[in-house]
Order: sequence, then C-alpha cells, then structure tokens
Amino acid sequence: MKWVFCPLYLTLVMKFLFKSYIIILITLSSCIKELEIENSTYKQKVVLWAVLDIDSNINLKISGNKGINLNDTLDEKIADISLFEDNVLLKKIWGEKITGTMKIINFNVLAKANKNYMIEVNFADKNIISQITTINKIIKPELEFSKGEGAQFKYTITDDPLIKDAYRFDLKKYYIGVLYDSMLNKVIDSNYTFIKKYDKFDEPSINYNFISFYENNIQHYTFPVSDQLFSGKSKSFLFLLSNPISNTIFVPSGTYANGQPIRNVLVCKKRYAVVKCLKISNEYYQFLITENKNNAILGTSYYNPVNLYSNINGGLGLMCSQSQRTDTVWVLK
Amino acid sequence: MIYHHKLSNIIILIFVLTLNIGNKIFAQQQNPLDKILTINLKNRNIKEILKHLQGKAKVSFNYKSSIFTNEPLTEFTAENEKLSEILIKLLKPYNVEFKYFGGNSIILKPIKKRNSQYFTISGYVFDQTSGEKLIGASVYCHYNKRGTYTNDLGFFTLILPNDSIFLEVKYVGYKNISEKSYNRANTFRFFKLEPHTNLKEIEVTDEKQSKFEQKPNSIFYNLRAIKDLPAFMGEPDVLRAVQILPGVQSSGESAGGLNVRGGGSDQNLVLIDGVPVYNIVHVFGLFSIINPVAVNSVELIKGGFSAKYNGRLSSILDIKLKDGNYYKLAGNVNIGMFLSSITLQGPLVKNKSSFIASFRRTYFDAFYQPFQYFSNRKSLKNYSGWYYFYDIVAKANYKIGNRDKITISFFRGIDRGKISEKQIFSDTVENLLKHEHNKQLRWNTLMSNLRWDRVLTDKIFMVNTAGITKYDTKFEDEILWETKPKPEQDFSHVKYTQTSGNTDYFFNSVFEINSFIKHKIVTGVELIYHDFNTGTLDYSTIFNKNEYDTSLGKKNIYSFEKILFIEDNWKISPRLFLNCGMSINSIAVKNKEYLKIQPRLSLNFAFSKKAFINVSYTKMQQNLQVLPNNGVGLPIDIWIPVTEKLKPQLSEQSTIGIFYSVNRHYRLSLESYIKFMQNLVEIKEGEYFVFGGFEWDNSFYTGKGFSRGVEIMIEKQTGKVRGWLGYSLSKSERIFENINNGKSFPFKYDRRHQISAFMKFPLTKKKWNASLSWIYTTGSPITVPSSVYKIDNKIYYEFTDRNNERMTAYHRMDVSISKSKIYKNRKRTLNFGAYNIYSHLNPVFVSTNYLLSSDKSKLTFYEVGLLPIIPYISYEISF
Repeated sequence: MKWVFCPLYLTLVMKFLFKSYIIILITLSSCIKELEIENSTYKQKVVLWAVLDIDSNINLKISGNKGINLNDTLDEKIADISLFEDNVLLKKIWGEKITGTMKIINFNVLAKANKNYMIEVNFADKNIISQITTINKIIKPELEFSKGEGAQFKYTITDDPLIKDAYRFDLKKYYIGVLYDSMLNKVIDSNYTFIKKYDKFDEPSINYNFISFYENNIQHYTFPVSDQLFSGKSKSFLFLLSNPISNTIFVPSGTYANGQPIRNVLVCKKRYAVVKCLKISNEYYQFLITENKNNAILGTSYYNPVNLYSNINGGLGLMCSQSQRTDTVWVLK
Repeated sequence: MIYHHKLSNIIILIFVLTLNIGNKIFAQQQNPLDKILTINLKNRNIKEILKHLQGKAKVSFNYKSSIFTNEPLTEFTAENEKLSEILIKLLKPYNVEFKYFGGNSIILKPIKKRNSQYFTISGYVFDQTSGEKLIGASVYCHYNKRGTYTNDLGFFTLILPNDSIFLEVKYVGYKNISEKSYNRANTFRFFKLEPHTNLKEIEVTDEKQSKFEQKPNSIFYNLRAIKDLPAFMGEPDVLRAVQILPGVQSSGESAGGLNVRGGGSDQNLVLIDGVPVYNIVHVFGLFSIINPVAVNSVELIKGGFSAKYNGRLSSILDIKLKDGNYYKLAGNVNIGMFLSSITLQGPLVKNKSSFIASFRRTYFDAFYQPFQYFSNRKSLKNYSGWYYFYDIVAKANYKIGNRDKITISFFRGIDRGKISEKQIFSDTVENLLKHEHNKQLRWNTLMSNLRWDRVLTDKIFMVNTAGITKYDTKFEDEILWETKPKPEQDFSHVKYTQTSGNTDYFFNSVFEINSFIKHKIVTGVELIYHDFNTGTLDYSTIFNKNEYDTSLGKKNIYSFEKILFIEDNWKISPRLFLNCGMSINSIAVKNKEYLKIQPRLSLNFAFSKKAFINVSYTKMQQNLQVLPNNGVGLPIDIWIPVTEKLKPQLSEQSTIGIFYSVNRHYRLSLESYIKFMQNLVEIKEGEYFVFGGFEWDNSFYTGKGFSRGVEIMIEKQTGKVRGWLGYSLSKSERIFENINNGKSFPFKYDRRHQISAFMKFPLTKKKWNASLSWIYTTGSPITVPSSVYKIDNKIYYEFTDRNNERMTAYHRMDVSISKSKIYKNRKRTLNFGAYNIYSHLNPVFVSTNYLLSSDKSKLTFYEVGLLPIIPYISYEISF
C-alpha cells in the first residue's frame, strides 16, 4: 500500500518544491533598477520648429532644451526674428523674449507655393540662427475608389524628377452613429464619433505588405512612403478598408477589474475615411526618417540612439515645408 | 682605489703572459706525447693504467673521474709506441679524447657528441584506464635536460643524445612514469599513465622542466583540470570558466560571448576538434554549447598566436573532444533541474577503435506548460510559449596499426523557442472572429569532420582534416485569422520566414616536423569555401482564397579562402626560446581578392629556473564578422563576409609578460598588451539588425580600434585548496570618422577594472567539496541623452557623445558544493549551489523608456537585469 502512494507523494512534493522555487526566483529578481547619472553635460540650445504649409499662416515655435536634470533650462534671451520671402524681408519681430518654455510666433503671413522662405533669429549676443526652405505645390495624385466588399482606394503619383521631396499619407477612419452602453442597453450619445487611426495590423488586409514589396516601402501610413528614388516614375499606393458587413461596432471604453475590456456598442449611421496625402520637403523627410529610426526600437535592448535630423544651425528643431491634399472616402454615407 | 684595481689587473696579465711564454719555451724543448714507451699491464682498470703512464712519461693527466667506469681491463700492452698512440688506443672505448696545451699537463675529456649520435623516441601518451589521449603531457630527460610536450593528438617526438637516458613522463593528476633506458635505437613508444585517485597526490610536477615550453598569453585546462572548473547549474562550464579570467570579459548575461583584450565577441576563433564553430552558447548565453563530460582539453589563447591559428583577431578557444574509452563501456548521467545529459563511451574494437556520444536537453518547456494552462484558462486571449535546447556530440575513431588513425566527429546544437497568442473575438470593432499569432525562433550549430592522423616517420607527423561547419537561424512570424460571417471561406493566413546562416566547407593538412634537434617546424595549408546567406525573407499569404508567395533578400555570397602557414619553435639556448612564423591568407570574393601576410613572433627568455619573460608580436586577419548591433548580442546575430566594399579586419598585438613560479604551489604572471585594429565596423546611428537587413552593406561605418591593458594572475594549482586570483586594468577605444565627430569613444565592452577569484577546496576529508567564484567588472558603457526637448508635445532626446555613461558595476558570486561517493565502481555525485548567490542585479541594458522621477525634476534611466540568484541541484552517476 505504501508503494501505491509513493509516486503521488513524490509528485506533490516535486510540485511544491518547484512552485516554491519559482516564487523565490520571482521574489528575488528585482529586474529594474535606477541608474545614477553623475556627469551629465548639458549645453543650452534653442529649439525652432516651423512647418510651412501652402496657403496657411507661417508660425514659428520656439523653445529651449533641458538637461537630464530638468531644472537645467535655457537662460532667458532676447531675439529679433525675421521672415524673408525670396530674400525679401516680409516681417520682423523685435525684442522677443525667449525662455525654455515654448512660444509660438505668428507672422500672419500666408505661405505661397513655389517660394523660398527664410527665418532668421538674431540674438542680442550676435548669435544668428537662420534657415531657408522652399514650398513646392503638390502634384495631384490620381485617385481610384471601389466600394462594397473589399473596398479599396488607390493613389497613383507621378513625381516631379526635378524636386527632392517625398510623400506621406495620414489616414483616419470615422465611425458616426448611436452609442449604447452594452451592459445597460442605454443610449450614451446619439451622435457619437469614433475616430480610429489607420493601423495596418488592425485590418485583415495584410496584403498591404505584399503590395509594398513591389511598390517600394510602404511601412506605417504616417511615415513617408516615398522618397527621391522614384523621381519621375509613377507609383501607386493602395489602401484597403474592412468590408462594411455590419454597421454595429464595439468601442472600447475602459477595462473591468479582471482586465477584460469594457466595450460600448456603436450603431453606425455614417462611416468614412479621411486621407491626407502630403508632399513634404526633403528636410521634413530626413527628420521623419530619423524619428522613425528612433521609435522603431525604442525601449528595446537594440536601441541605437540617433539624433533627430535638424537643419537649425547651432540649435535643434526643423524648418521645412509641406503641401497637402485631403480626400474623404465614404464607406457608408 | 680605482688605480689600485687597475694595477692588480696589469700584474695578473703579466703573470699569465709569462706563464704562457715559459710553457712555449719548455714545449719547444720536449713534447711528452712523442715519448716512446713500452707497457704491459694485466688486471688493471683505466685509472690505474693512466696512473702508471703518468709515472713513466712524467706527465700529469687531468680529468673528471666520472668519465670512466671502474671496469677492469684484462690486459693492456704497448711496445715502443708513442704516448699519443697509446692514449688513442687506451681511451677510444670510453669515448674520451686527450688535449695537450704544453707543459706536462694532458687533459682528458669526453668526445663531443655529433648528430649521428642522437636517436629519436616518439609515440603517444594515454590514460591507462580509458586509453584517452593526454594532451600537453610532458616527456622529459633529466640527464640531458631535454623535453617535449604531447601535441593535440597526444603524440610526441623527442630527439635525445646517444647516451644513457632517464626518461620521465608526467601529466597533472596522473602518476609519473620514470624509466632508465640504455636502448639507443629510434623507438616508438606508448606511455600509459595511471590517474591519481587521492587528491593529496595531485601535484604539478613540471616545474623543473624548461620554462620555455610554458605558454604565455594562454590558459590551458587539461582532462583533469576541466573537472575543477567553476560549475554552472551543476556541471563545470567551459565558457563560464573562461569568462572570469583576467583579460576576458563576457558580452553580458544575455549574450554569453567572449570579449578578449578589447575585441568583439565575433573575434574569437572557437575550435571544436580543430573545426571552427560560429555559435558557442545556448539560451542567450546561459550555457555553453559543449557538454564538459565530452571534453578532453580546453585552451584559451589571448595573444602571441601561433601561425597555425588564423581567421580571428582576438583569441583562440581550442576545445578538444575525448576519443572515448578504448577498453570498456563507460558512461555518465547527469540529472539537473533545468537540463539533463547522458554520455556513453566505449570500445568499438578493443584497443583499436572507440566512440563517445553525449546528449543534453533542457526541459524548461515541460515545466512551463502547467503554469500556462492555469494562467490562460479563463481568458479569451491566451499566450503560450516554450523553449528548449539540445546538443549532441559524437565521435568515433579507428587506429590502423601504430601509425594511422581515422576519426570522425559530429556536433549539433539546436535552440528553439515559440511564443503564441490566440484570441477569440466575441465582439470586435472589425470583423475578426479568431486571430492567432505565432512567433518561432530557431538557431542551429552543426559541425562535422573526418580526420586522418599519420605518423609519417618518427620525426614527421601529419594531420589531414576535411569537414563542414554550419550555423543558421530561422525566425517565423505567422498570423492566421477567420472573419465573419463566413469563416470557412474567409480564412486567411500570412507567414514571414526570415532565415540567415553560413556554411563552410574546408580541408586542411598540417605537418609537424621534428627532424632538427633545436627546431620543431609546423607547416600546413588550409582551404575554406564560405557560403553566406546574410538574410532572406520568404513571404506567403492566403487571402480570400488567393495565394501569394515571394522571396526577398540578397543572394548568397560565396568566398574562397586559402591559408598557408609555417612556424618554427626554436630552442636557441637553454635560456632562450623563439616561436616565429608566418601565415599567408588570401580570400577571393566576387572580383576582389585580399592577400595579407601575417608575421607571428614570440620570444621567451629565462632569468632563472623560476622566472622567464616573454615578448610577442602578432598580426591577424579576419575575413568575416557578425553584423554589428548596438544592443545586447543574441545568438541570432548574422555573420557577413568581406565584400568588395568591406575589407578584412586586421590587428597587430604586442605583448610582454613576466612569469614566476614562487614555489611549487604558486605561480604569478604579469602580462601587458597593446592592440591596434583596423577595418572594424560600427553600425550607423538608428540602424539595427535583429534578423538581418537587406541593405546591411550600407548600414555601417568602418574605423579603427585601440586597446591596451595589464593583467595580473596568481594561481595555486596544487594542494587541497586550488584556485586563482586575477586582476586586469584595460582600456578599449574605437575611432570612426563618422561617429562621435571623429573623436575616440569607449568600446561597448570596455571595462576598466576586472577582479576575479576562484577557489576549490574540500569541506571534509573525503566526500564533500566546494568551489567559489567571484567576479567584479566596471560597468559597460552606454549612450544616454544629454538633453531633452519638446516639439508638438512630443519629447525628443539629444545625444552628444557615443557611450558617454556607464552602467553600474557587474559583480557576482557563484557557489557550488558537491558530495561524491564511489560504490561498486560507480561514482555518484550530488551537486548543489547557486548562481549569483547574493542576487545582485547585473544590468544587461538600460531601458530607453526614459521616465520622469517621482518629483519630475529629472529624467531617470532604468537598468534592466535578467538573472537573480538561481539555486540548483543535480545528481550525477559515472560508471
């Protein structure tokens, strides 16, 4: 009889020992620890940011960088800021106070197509920061659209071989309808709009990637999808939207205590996608490339830091230009 | 005082000259050798005859009595013969000659030995109980102070003078063989050494031998010393042991590579039975790929490289496998918490042929299954995964006569892991019904070779090897889903498979020539055909019944490498030993050929019987490398060859070292080095390769490296308590034109200080033993931002200098305790202990999700560690 129970006993003991072992390991493994940085070298820099958009007001965002110790900020400076169009002074703002906190300088000037713009920031200590950018008008892409099952739309762009620029797309999906509380079956909002950024991983239409192999690199849709490499050639970008099989969708609105998502029901009346096709200057393209490189592996052990592209001499940030075309693609009108 | 000293010198000179002149005048008067004598003597020995002649010829004979034996002569007669003729006749049987310099004095001395009076003794040294070859065993003649060591195959050749010899064969952990031999013919011998069973008896006994044959810049673990290596998870681990030596650093807890004297982890040539392998770790560096039970010897060479080693810049890790037991079936079973192993060895044909086979496997996967079940049972979304590795080592050999041996070796190590995510949708924003995402990773190391060893003559030994070595990785990413409302129709599937790897086919032929008394020449040729797959992506999908299939990536790159080398081990004098050589390496890839000559030089000079100094200079070339990554290294790293754009890496290393045997227990070494490297690669900012990239050849910069350091080590190899204490001070930098504004920056594995200690000692008289190892190193350099700024509410970081900060220091103590008992010829050992016993968090990388401190006053960086204290227990049976 003793031998009958022996394996059972052993199994129980082994289970207990192994569980205890795992618990001890987990308890002892404090996997994250703060790293003390003792010798950080902070150098004060001015940060400028100006994206000039065709037929839009020209704004300049100006601020300063901070050290690892966030109390290390830019000392207060006085600067004269000038805007030039094709080397002609359009506007000058005198004695602007600049600190580490961001300030928006509005020139109240509309950016025009095919013009050169320069912004000059002249500090009292004779330290001049300036940058030139050119705005080129977007070449209207051809747009094809099909609806119903496998709804899709396709942009076809023939690029200007003389201009070094790139294209990017920004796509958002809109779901408008009546939002119900799924538990109480009560109307929360009768005209609710749910906006979703387009994410290829949400969609069953994975053949985006497939197409990208032939059509150069489509990566993420907010990322530049073209560069100078296809200058003069025609290129197509295909977007697929999920089939409008049902007008009822579930909108996440939080989580229960057990981690399960709380989802409200949205009965759609309207459903559409807004697609922005942006033609961006080479500087903006370079900036986005470096930004993407930073983000791609941020937080992983493979992180290989890269400084963001900057065309601000002696400072940080960017001055660049873009022009855009926006299209609305209706799925359910 | 000076005047007085000079005067005394002049007086001595005058006195000597006067004596010489006097002698010459006297000699002109009468030459005693021309005296005519008649003698007739019976039953006298040689000394008595000489005494008799002294009286008759009125001369005196000066000689050492040891040159004659006391054997009596029955009769010696000479009638009216000159003294010179009598002496020739009398002394010939004793190999003694006479010299006359004037006066009445005649000097007698042994005739100088000539080459024709040497003979060769060659053969093998084996373990008596198993027939296993003993690498590095010494064969030494005290009488003539001549000796040698067995080579990698247990073979030796010793040329000795043609007089009586007293030969001694020694190996640490074995009983010496001492024998007197008067056999002066060339002989071929098999020495079988009996292992010590008592710890007290184990001693290093080669301290009286020539210091020149000790190897500076290297560490050698023989068959017995491997058992004494620091244990990891219950078994001695070759790689873990090497990683705590001065001058060697690990690439980190998750990588397990070696960084030797400021070199990269891909700059180490790891040889298993002479075949290079490209991956040396399992489980991201936790275990080394070789089961120590199957290992005969391990040698790590950090500098002063022999010309026979080629292809890497920083170090050589030469692992020799056992041949297997030639006499009886033996085995070893090790059952541990994480892995178990079984090893069998025995004769195929007794005394002629043997085999060894070893298999190890982990069972993390089996343990983890129940936990997965319980954690996922109530969830619609569940995750699962498993991981395991196994390796197989097998070797068989066959001796054809005394002079030929055929060996076939095989190694395969596989790591596999899978993460799976399944989700069933009860409701969804989109139209998915079911979604499944599987990720699978596999890496595979394979090596196989066929070797023919032949003793061509007593003085020439030949080894021919042909084989294959392969390393490949595979990553699969598969997504399956079903959509509403027709799952049977709308089932879709997409699969990415990324593969990379390289295969080498090689042949080499090496000759060891011992034809000269003071020279040992090693020469050979090696041909390698490399086939590199630097990353291929296969993509297949089924979407709404339509199938697509495509493949992307670079084409395979092929290159052909030819190596010719020659080296001479020259014992210039009893105090001076020179190893000089040269290697010519040529590699052809596409339309480009790189040809380099690499000189090698290492000189030992002995101050005394206890101390010697070594200086060395070596130039090395490396024709392949791992795609650089800035993150932690993984075994899935991709090897790339030289290309038309990417030149071979080159290094020049100079070392100087002093080695001192304090007494028969302690040895002290002090070594320093300086190393320059060229054509190193560093990844461009922002680039990374986890599974390779299609544009890798445009994603890095080439530059230079410079490292220098000092290493001190004190070892105790004898007695009950054995171990070492080491310290190294080093600096390793990189200089790249396009990185860090052209300024030098610390290499990512630059660690200024390293202290390591290892101690093995008995806890009780017989059964219980313990070992302790401890290591401390300065933290690894990392790049952290120097400032932060905001654009459109997004936070960005500014990086000014590469590797501008360091992680916290790495330190760890491992403890291992074992209890052994021999019962009915079976040795049973219980091992238990702990890795990282005080559970120090050793950082692997710094999380780049920079967080604000609680008071939001500063950016905070967090180090991520992986391995806390890991206790273990294992049970081993050897039979």
